[in-house]
Amino acid sequence: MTWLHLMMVIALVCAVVVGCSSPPVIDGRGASDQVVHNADIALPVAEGDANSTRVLSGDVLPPYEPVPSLSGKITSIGESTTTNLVARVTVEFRRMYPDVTLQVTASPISIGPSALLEGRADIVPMSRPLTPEEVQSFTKKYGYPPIEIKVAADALAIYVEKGNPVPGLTLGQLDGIFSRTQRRGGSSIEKWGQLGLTGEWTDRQITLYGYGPEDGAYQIFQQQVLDGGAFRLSLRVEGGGSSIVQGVAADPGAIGFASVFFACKRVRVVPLAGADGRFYVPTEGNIRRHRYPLIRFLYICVNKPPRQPLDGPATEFLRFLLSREGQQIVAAGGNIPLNAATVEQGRRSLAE
Amino acid sequence: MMRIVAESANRLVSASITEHGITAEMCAALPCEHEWWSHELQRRPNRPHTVFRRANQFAAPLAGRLLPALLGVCIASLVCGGCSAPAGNPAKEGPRQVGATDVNQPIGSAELDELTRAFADRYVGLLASTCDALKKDNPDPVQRREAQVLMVDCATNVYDIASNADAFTRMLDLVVVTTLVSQVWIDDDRVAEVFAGREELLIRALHHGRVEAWALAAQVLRPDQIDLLDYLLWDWRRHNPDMVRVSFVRFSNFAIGRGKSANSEVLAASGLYANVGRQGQAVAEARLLTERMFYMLKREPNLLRWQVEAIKDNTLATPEVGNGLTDFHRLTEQVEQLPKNVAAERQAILAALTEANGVVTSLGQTSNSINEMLKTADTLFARYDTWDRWGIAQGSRPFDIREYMEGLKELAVAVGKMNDMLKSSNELLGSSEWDRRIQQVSQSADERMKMAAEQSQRVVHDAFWRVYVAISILFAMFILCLMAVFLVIRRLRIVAGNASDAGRKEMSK
Repeated sequence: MTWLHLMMVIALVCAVVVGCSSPPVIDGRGASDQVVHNADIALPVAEGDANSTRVLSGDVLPPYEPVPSLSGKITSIGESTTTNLVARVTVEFRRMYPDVTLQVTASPISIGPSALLEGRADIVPMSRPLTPEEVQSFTKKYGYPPIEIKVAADALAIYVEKGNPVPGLTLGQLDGIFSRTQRRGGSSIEKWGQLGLTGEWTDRQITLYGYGPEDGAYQIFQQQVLDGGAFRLSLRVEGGGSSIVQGVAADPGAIGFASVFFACKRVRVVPLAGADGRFYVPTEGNIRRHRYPLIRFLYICVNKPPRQPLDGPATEFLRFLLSREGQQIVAAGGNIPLNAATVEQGRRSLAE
Repeated sequence: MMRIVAESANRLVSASITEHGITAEMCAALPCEHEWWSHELQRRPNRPHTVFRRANQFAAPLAGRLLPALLGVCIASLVCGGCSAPAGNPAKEGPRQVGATDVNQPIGSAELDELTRAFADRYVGLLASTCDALKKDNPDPVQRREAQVLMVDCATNVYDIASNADAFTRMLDLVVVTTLVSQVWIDDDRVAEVFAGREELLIRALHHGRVEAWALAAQVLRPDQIDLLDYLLWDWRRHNPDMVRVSFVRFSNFAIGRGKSANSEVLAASGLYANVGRQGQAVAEARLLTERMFYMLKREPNLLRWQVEAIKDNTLATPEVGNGLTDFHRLTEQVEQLPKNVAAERQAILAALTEANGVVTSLGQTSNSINEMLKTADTLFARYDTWDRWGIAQGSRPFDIREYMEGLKELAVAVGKMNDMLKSSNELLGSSEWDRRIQQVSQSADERMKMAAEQSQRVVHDAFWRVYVAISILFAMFILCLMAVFLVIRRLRIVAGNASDAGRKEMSK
């Protein structure tokens, strides 16, 4: 009897704990008709104060401990999205170390790896991992692979016009919408009616918006969603994320992918089916817990020989970026800060 | 930390030139006007800067020996061609090449000059059409005002940008303005708040304008630069979410801290006048100023007209004026209704009188009937009186009808009095005094109706008179403006003519 009471108490406590910490997912219905209400969608906000308080809500990151003096030059050549982040961090870094010169240059995404290979850059900001070919070329020249350090997280959100009632999408459905090869085995989806929408939506054509092939987001979407397949030729390529989102906002039949950073009032972020079959919206929590399926990291690649420190002040710059203060800047800029484990992983790879 | 972040946003594009070209904070990534331009020129050793160097080598001896002649030529060119020449004359701008990508077709400065100005006119035209459509048959004064203000703000600023001397700055500023305006109205959904039910028109127009502006930028900037510019604009918007009037923002706002005049950089970077000397530079500046002035003057009538409309819409949309207009509207409605009301009242009075007359007449007929009835009753009662006397003689108590007789007699007296009263009423209705009273009532009603009609006519006349005066004042102001413009143009022609004469004399010497 006593054991029975004890087990009931334990079960009750477990139920309470699990209930309180359950993730914000759609639940209680079949996978086919799961719906997320708009109120559940909490997107990153622009206010710096709000961001800075939310950075460390779940993780305790180590604070940055400045070194007494530092001088030298850091040359950064890399992709523009991550370069924006580097530039923001640069301002604060130079405040601490005025004798350090930083030369930051944004370039097409393919330029960064070659700059690292040729020794023209100390750090190379990237919005995707290095390709096997890029790693191979580097290893062939130096005898060891380059180090890729994750410095921020990001999510590719799927946007539709705010009046679009589509409840959620699977990656297979996205493949049917965006791909002309359908490598995931689904069928081609060209009208909203094929996704179960009725009424005026039944015969409405789907218009596609996205990045161009030079962009890291394009390549990640191609790998993660299209399974390496080809985009439809009707994809309307826009110059930047905000252009994509506005294109969707101005077109009731449109769907587009861009960083979650660019969400605005006139569009709706569509929940996506995660690995467990539940639908998730790209909230900070879902991104940091890897529940939302379309996650990408922003990287900084460096040429670091094993068991040797980096040349110049680049190590200190990366240590600052992987600290509490650095991740606060990441969050204030609209990106998603890393969790403690990823930060620790990055710091370890710098120290090794 | 937030202060640091805010500063970082401001200094995001601050740049400094080093021996390697563009360096610095992140800005080297984005072309900060001519720093990027010069970087592009350095990046392409066999392209325009070689041409510039050759031109400069050629111009250097000229600057020393033929400076007066060159000055005269410059003045002459200002008079003869500069004022009226199209902005994108290749001969003036030289063959410099702005940062075209290796992928896209290179675009020259002269072409960019034309494209930006053409885009400016097209954008303003598109907005004007859209705002006209938004205002058409729109009963809401606030919506009309917002549409007009949007059009005037955008048109003024886009023309201001288009009259800028440098095509590259112009292109960047146009991208900034079109993007920010579309972000405010579309992304922030202000369009639904202000133009609920009519938002589709404006969304289409603003998005179209933005797409065109970015297509223009794509001919000059590399994809990564476009991506970066897009991010910068979005980031600026994030840090200024409450700013609604964004058409005043320029690309230079993103380059705070550079502390240099864009125009001076234009002249320094172009290289065309670098060796001409200070006088030549002054002439070039005068030419640019004149071109800018003419550009604006050509578009000033439209701007003036739109601004006057904006003032009118703004006045009408003010709550106090709105209340006043509502009161005035109500008053005029009352005035319009007054004759009808008076006529209705008169009809009602006449109908009441007619009814009263009818009642009196019917009462007269009734009294006659009662008289007849009473006569019959008297005859009947006389018979009962005989029966009564017979009953007493029989010795038994007969049916005593005297009690009823008393009652009937009293009734007869009452009826008689009523009869008298009715006779009196008949006499009254038939008398001339009654007719006179009726005529007085009718006359009074007529007079009141007439007075009301006169008053309403006077109100309408007054209102129209004021409108005429207002239109006259506006027309007079318009004439004065035209005269002022005419005088300015005339004055400029005289000045130009004098300069031309001076130039000819100089040449002849």
